[in-house]
Amino acid sequence: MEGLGVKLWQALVSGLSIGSIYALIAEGYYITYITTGALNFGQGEFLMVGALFGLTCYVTLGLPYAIAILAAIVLTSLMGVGLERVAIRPVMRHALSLSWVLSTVAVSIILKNAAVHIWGPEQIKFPSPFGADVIRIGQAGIFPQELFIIAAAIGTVIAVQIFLKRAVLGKALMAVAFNRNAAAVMGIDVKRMVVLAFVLSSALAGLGGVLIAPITFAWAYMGTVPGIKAFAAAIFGGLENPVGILIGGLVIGLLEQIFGIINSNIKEGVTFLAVLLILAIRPSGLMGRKDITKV
Amino acid sequence: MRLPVFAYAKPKDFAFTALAAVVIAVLPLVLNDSFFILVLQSLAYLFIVVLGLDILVGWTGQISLGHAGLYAVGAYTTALASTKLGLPFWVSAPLGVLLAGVFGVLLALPSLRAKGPYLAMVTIAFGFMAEVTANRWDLTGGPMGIMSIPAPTLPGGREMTATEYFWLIGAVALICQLLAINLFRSRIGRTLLALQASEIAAETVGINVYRYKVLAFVLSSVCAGIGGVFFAHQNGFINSDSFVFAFSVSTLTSVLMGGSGTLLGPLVGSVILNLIPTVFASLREYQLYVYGGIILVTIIFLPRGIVGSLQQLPVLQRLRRPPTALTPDPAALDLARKPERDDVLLAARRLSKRFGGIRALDEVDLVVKPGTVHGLIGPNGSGKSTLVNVVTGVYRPSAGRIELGGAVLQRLTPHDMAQQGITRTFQSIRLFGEMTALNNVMVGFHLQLRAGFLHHLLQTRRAVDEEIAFRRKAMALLEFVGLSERAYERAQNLSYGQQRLLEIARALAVRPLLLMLDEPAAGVNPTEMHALVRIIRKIKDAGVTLLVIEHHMDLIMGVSDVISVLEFGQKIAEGTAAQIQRDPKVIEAYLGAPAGSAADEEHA
Amino acid sequence: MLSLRALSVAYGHVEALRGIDLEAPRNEVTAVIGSNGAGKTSTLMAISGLAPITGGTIFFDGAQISGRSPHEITKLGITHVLEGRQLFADQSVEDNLLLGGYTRLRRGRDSVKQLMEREMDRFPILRKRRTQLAGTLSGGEQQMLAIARGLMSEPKLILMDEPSMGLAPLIIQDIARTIRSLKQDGATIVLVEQMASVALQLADRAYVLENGRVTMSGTGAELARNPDVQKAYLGG
Repeated sequence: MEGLGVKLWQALVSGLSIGSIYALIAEGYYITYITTGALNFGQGEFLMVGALFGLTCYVTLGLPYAIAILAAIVLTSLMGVGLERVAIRPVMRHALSLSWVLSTVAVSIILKNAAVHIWGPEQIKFPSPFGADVIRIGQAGIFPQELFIIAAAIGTVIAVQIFLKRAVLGKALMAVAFNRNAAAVMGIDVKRMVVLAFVLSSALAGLGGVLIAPITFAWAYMGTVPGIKAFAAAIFGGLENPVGILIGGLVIGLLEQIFGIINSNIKEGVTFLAVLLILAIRPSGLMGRKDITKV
Repeated sequence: MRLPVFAYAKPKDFAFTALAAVVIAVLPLVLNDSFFILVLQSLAYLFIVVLGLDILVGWTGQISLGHAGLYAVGAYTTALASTKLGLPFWVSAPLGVLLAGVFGVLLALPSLRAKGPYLAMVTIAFGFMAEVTANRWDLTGGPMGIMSIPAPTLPGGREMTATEYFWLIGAVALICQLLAINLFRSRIGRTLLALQASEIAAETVGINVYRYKVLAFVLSSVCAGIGGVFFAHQNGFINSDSFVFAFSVSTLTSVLMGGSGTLLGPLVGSVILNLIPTVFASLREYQLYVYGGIILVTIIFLPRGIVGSLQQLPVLQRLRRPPTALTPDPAALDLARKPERDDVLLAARRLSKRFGGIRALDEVDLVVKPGTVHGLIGPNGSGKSTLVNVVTGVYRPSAGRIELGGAVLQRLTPHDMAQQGITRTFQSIRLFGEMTALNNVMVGFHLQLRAGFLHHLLQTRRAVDEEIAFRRKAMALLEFVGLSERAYERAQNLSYGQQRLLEIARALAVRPLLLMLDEPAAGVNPTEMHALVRIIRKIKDAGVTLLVIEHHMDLIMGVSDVISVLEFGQKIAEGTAAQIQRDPKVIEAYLGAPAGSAADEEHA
Repeated sequence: MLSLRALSVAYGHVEALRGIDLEAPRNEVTAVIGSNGAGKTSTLMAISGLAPITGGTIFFDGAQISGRSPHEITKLGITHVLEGRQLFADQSVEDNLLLGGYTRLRRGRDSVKQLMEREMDRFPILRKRRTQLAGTLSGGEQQMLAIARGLMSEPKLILMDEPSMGLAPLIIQDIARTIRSLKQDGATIVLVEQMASVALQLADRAYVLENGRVTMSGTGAELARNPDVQKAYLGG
């Protein structure tokens, strides 16, 4: 019985750390979705680039972890500008509402290929700056990196919310999200705010990459699954609700790890099962708003 | 000569079909190389999957990023049935297709209410569940998959050669394409396109949107299942690696690249996308750059896909034959159903609708008598549109009841309302913009058309005859509103006034007891206005009861037998035009100034 | 101050404005009346850069502004109080005002604070509601906030779209009084209204739009006396 208790403890911490990464990426989906109605289906590949570029800075160049984090964020932010220019702006005028799904997937395919070219196809170990030793809490062993992930990711999610609610720029972004025309006649440059949204979203994914790499591996194919699971988390919580998304991320992370104790087969499917169940009950997610048809 | 099925077919159609059949027959003989024949087989069954996805995406406006899951259901079912149960291909294959169809229903159910990214998620989740199940379940062989799936046999027990197997797949693909063309040109295709353009408008002419979405999912799944079955028996071995997210993405890309919602788009899209790996095989590590780049370029520069963009070319537009002239059938002008009672048609009893804290409708009582034109006026935001929305089932009432011919209405969805005889037009026009004016009216006949799905799938004489008869009726209705000249124009190309008239024609096709016109004169020019007044009178003379919301005082005072006035969700007055114009409460509410102020002096 | 020459607007194939000419002189209220769908809102949206202009030009303060993006036009000194208020309902009254002063933020937060105080003096109720979410205000308060938010950019020209929409008669009187006092302070206003009686009382000049064209124009009083106008728009 004691074994189970230990496993639960570990699952709790791992679940929260993976979940907070999901939440971090998913907040990025939220920001671009509310401003443009589109989101980057290649968030996972942005995470991957963040991880690998962070690896280059941290291991190859021997820079401090903090600098590596910063560098990854800067690079993915710039990639966000490019993404908006190449894959979002040209297709948002199209009648077809799902063009952005495939245009961002296309970018992600190219990124994956580029990553293989630059960093090779192998899994690369990303040493944790906090060491490989586990902290013992009772019988449970917890990696310090996991605790750092939880603190950094949730801290960032909260910081982004504070930015959106308190800073003038954030308020302007929320105004664009709420009502584009009204924001434009306030003198807010809507196009620039859309770019900002994609920059923020991409930066969050890049940060997620450098955070998570030390507990997984860094490699070209590391991003797809977290990207999709983060999307599941966003939908679970409600794509228009940042609090819902945070909850969604953590719930999905915990579900996976806890079901992982019982059976590793169930672990892989539980995320999607949970999302299907919640959508069957609430078509706009746990905390999403019900849309009223306007006629 | 008319066949009992494919009754619409013209010599040209036979010629094209024969040509396609010859190509399928000859190709493997010309390219007689085992590798090429394999490529051809794959092309043919992947085409079927893409065709099916187009029914969902291009016709119905839904999205699926989980088609790999349905493809897997087909493949695993036939693989298990033939290896574990020893069933022959001819039994296991239909079983696979059938089960894929069943899973289509399962996928449809959570998809019905989900929209946009939520719908995408439902399908992604389904696809991943399928992949994980295949990868982890003992029955499906886990990561090892299922081996030694037998090749299909001919009667007599001999295994098919690769060429014969291609002929089989090619024949099925050809049949699928022909049936898809049948459906696309029939009422079924029209209905799916209509609900893609506007679910609400489709509902108000009596279309059960959910049911048709399920149909689209099932058709799409069946096609994916067929593809999966052929894949399993081609390869002889399957495991979960073939049923990944990337497969769903590439299928969707094929649809968009070819041109979603076009007849030949799936063929073009699947051929091009599936030839890329073959053609660019030498690029090896650069292959994905090319693949990603092609997707991106297509999406950005050819938003309608290759076929869709070609169709836009003026040269090809001009090549189109003008459609044959239709003689209008005046029988369509028998507009009205007979109301059961002659004292009261529609009654709203203490009807309320709240949005959050706002009372948009506050215990409104309203009685509309049969055969009258009932005007409804009130300042902006007074609840007029809400009333129409509640009575046509778009909103659920918060309290109160609605009676039709004295009976309380229980089922209140818009399509139930249409069935019961209440339909409407919209303040913000909701036509099926890409469809012709004629087809917009044809959608309006939804509840009167009798030929069922199979008749349309096979284009039986019955389906074709019915279609022709109703096209003549549609023409008569277009003539009635003065739009017969523009029957083959896309609705979105009509002027504002014409669009409003077309909405009226579409609503009349429902044969309503009660027709509600929500601001029919908004944006209408003075000439069209006269036509509108005339048409409203003609509709009334034909026995249809009308409820008209309007701001144009001229119009409302001119046509209405009774006028009700709403303000802040409550009925503040009711009477004839003359009574209303004298009512001080109305003057105060509607003219926005208390009696005795400047506004009054200006009248004098 | 503002002149429209042969201005056309179309959404896809649907023409909303078919070549209208309109002058809005400095320090005057210019009213545009007409029924729903006549093109009133499209006119204002074209001026502020929100509607797709398909022909003609717009001059403001001597410079051509047609084709510029909305935020640039706002910076030039045009404010647009949108139809149906279109507040940022999930942000506070103060934040709505702050965003109204977005173009003034370069001068520092303090000058925006002062403008905010000025608007809250104009509409004292907004001071009482300053921390409330805009979506929770009553209709009349929302309209006041919409006007105040528009005035935060210290505009040279105010475009107002249906300020009376959905308001009770007494509140409409309040709004009319506000417009009158703005006019007395020398503001230049283009007022779009469906309630013709209210608009014509306030207007120096007025235009009647029908089906995307100007069918009549004159002083407010002239149009108010015109029997055709009375019949069509004044319920007479």
